[in-house]
Amino acid sequence: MKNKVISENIEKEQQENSSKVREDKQTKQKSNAQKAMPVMIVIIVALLVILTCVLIAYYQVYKSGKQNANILEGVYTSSYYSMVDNINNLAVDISKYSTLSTKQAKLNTLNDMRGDCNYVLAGLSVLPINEENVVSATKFFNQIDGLCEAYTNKLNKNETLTQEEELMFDKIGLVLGEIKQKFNTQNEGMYDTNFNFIDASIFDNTGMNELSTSLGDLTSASIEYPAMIFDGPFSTALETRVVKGLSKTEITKEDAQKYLKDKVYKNRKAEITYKNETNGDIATFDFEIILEGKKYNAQVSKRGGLLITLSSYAEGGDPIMKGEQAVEMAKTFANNIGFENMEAVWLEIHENVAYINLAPNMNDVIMYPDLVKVKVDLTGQDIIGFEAVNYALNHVSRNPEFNVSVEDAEKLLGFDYEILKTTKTVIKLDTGKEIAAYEFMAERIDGLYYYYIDANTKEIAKTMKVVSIKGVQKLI
Amino acid sequence: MKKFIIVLVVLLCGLFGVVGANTIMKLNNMDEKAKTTVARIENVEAAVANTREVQTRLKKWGYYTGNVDGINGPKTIAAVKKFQKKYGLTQDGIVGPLTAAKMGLSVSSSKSSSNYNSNDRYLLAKVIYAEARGESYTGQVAIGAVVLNRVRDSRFPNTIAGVIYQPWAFTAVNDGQINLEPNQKAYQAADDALNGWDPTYGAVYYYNPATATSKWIYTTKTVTQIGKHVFAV
Repeated sequence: MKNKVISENIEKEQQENSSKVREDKQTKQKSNAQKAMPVMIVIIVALLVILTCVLIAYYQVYKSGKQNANILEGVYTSSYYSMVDNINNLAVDISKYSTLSTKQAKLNTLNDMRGDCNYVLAGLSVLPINEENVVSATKFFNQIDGLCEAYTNKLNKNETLTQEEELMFDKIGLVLGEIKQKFNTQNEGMYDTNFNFIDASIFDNTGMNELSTSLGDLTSASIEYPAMIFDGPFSTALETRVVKGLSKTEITKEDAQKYLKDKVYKNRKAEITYKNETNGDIATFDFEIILEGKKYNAQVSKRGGLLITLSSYAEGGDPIMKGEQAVEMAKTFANNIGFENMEAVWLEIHENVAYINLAPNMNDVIMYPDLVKVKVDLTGQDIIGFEAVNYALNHVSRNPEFNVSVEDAEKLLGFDYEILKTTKTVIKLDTGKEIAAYEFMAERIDGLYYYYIDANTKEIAKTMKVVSIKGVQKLI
Repeated sequence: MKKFIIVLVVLLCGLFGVVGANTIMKLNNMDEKAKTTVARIENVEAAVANTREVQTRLKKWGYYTGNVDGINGPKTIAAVKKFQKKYGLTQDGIVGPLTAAKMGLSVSSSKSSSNYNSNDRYLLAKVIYAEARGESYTGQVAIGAVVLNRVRDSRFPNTIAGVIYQPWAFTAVNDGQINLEPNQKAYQAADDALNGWDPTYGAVYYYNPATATSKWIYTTKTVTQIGKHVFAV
């Protein structure tokens, strides 16, 4: 009986204890929850603040991006319509041209046509269209511009355009008609779909591809594309370069390596390694050279075995030689490797590197088309560059005629100048034609000029002004 | 609760990261395009500014009666011719060095082998550095030469800025690497290219065969390979 009472008491006590523990636990939990509440509120508020900041920042970036995109879209759209408008203007001006009979009216219209072409080209170069499709359109309009320039020059010289030349514009007019038609169809599609250049170029290429194809079609079989052979800067006749200055005899790569070792780097410890060959207008064997720890690249022509290019760079430091010494070094180097009778015609010193232009002197006439360029490091006192592409292309024996006297040529210069030097030269015009010309180095109040007077037609063929660029010292 | 907060934070960060990065990439892309356009506009503006200067002077001296609008139209040409007649110059209506000198204007050409200016040098160095800073020196000159070959080629824009910033022409312009500051070696390579060095002999295209995606580029005629770049015409 006694034991039963004890057992009941223990049980009761245990129940009480358990209830007390439960209560304590609940109180503790409640107290913990009460303590955690402010922390949670702080975290939630902080998260809301962060979220708000992120949304504001996102909105700001989005807004400014949207503004940029709108501005850019405006530029694209205006460029596109300017391009299309000027294609239309060009078509109208070309039609007008064929109805004109006076020289002045023709000159004015040719000038307008050149303006149209340049506006078309400006618009074309801004539009985000695939490069390969733009090239044909760019070429077409550049060539019309070049054709107009060539015709303008002819008319200014009181020459008459041949019937074939006049008819060229009819052919161009037909091509323009087809392009106009394509753009008109394109425009209708753009109105219908609310075309957006940025969306089309970045997010969806379909619309842009259609526009791009319209331009790319300039070379398609459906359009008879006139071959514009004319005497102008972008004439198709100028596209193929002919190598006239190299002997027809071909050498092997071993011969080329020997030439580099025995002529270019005579008596020097140069490590010469054959790399590959280049098959451009001038085919060359290409070598890598290590000389006194410095790397050079050299290209030796397969025909004739002459150094065509040598390139490396200056490491920097203080100059230990003067420009005049560099000129002598360049002349000696050129002579030693097979370029004889070269005369220095230009020296430019830039950041302790001397660029020297050498041209052959044939019977006291300087042959500018055969220019060779040499680069001398004034800090390392060494030749670090050589370039003879023009020489390889143009160097032939010439016997130019000078039918106009130097006194008569000088009269073209007007007044207020002092002639510092007069030289007989052969120069190459932008059209590729070579002419005999007197070079007058003349000082005027605003600087130094070079005038080239055609020694047979007595016209000013070319005028150049010496421009000083910051950090560049140019001497003659 | 703690788990909920952690999940919420992670989700927010993830969402912001994905949306933000995507947006920034697209906006950067637009920014580059905007810069491209600005470069072209500056170029056009320079030409217009020159014509404006000529018109302003001719108007002041009584040769020109039209608007100073920067357009080299018939009225401007006629005024230039009148001016040329007065000073005994060839009456071609073009403001060349002699006419410009008489007007007190400076002209920009040079006796050097190139007619380029310091802006062109800077732009060329930038594109060389951006496109070929890991290549050999000759490889860098070659990139500069390709840009200059394009300037001379009728199929491309007629200025260095025009060629470099032509949309889709250079990857470095699209991805923004063009804005990296060029180093001294890139400047020297630009100088060489401007002075006529062209290890590619007239190439107007180049590509890296390992990364090129356009099938069209493989239709071009290969001239040479310098480092990782194949040069073509």
